[in-house]
Amino acid sequence: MSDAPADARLEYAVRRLNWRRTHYGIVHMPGFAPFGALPSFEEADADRARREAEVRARITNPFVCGPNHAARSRLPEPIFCDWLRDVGIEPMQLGQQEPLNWDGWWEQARGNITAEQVAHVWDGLDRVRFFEVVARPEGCIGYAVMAVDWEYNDNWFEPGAEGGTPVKVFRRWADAEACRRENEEAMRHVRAPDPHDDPMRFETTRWTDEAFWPLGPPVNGCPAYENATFTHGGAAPFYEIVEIELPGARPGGGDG
Amino acid sequence: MGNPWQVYVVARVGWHVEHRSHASPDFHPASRDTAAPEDRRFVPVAAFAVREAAEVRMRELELEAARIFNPFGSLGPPSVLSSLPVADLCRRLGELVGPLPVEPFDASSRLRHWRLWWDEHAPTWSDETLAAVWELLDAVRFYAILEVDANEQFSIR
Repeated sequence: MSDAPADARLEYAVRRLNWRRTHYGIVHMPGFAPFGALPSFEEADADRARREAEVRARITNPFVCGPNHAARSRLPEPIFCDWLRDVGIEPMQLGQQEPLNWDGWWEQARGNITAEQVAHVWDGLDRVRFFEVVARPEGCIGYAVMAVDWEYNDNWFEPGAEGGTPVKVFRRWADAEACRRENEEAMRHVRAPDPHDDPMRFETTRWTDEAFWPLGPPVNGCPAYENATFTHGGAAPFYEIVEIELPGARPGGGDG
Repeated sequence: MGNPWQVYVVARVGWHVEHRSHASPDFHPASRDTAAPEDRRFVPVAAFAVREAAEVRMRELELEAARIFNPFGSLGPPSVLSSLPVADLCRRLGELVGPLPVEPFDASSRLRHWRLWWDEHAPTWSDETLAAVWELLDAVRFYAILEVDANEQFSIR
């Protein structure tokens, strides 16, 4: 961020990159979600590595990440094959079959691949990274209170896969939380279930899925729609808080 | 009395991601049924007191997005990518980056060649070239600037 105060100290933010689970695999979309910051790069990078390892352990097949080889690695496929051979993994044969079915190959081969070899494979898939560390001026963050945009789908209300409508921006989290709570209470009063009518259902999978982020196997082996979670209008979230960059703001919660 | 303070928020447009086959993820903005631009869902990223600063940050983020997103990966027909007629788009694209795939850019069944072409060549383009290419693909945008109330007058620039 180019507008940081000249005397700003740096902190190191860990960000989750925007990989999205789909029915057939996992794709990398633009964007990120911040996870807070640590004072040194070493601490932040250790946190990133820990998170990265957790996700890799959950994704048993790295080749489901990205729709093709180029989305997974900067190494051209023949070079990537040599990369595998370097540690004794015999890759699939490059031939006329296009695109190569790497994820199918992995399912066949993984039983004979050691943990060290798995780590080498991940190293070669250098475009498949789920977290990153970025330096930023210390404390230059704020908070946006967001309205969740519930939409009725003829059966229940859906919040959309991500995002909403920004309502107000705050420098301090406590102020944002007070705003969120005030709006939330007002909306709950309006949207609370009518005891004389069937309660409207609100799908909360977007939030309950967070515990499974990103991308591990479907919960209990079931497709996503079978794991959808719901609540009623008296418990559905109508507002949430999102951390945002405030380039040039001063640390410590003050603004001057 | 309304809040006199506003900031310019750079926000990522929320996208739905579907995947109908192994090779063909589908993407589209997370718009509601009305599909009007102002009805899209957003994920806020940064706030600025000055619009020009927000535009600079938005251009940075669009370029980051262009580095990881293949526009020929099943977004849809050419009209989904650009407001330019296909012939003009291809001519100007060729002027920027050299030879294009020989397969016509006119049907989704042929987009695979263009997708592979992008995967092979886009990483070799400079930021300036990629930004110029993305200017041609003017129907695909990942970020927007929104005017949002603030609870105080920030000194942020």
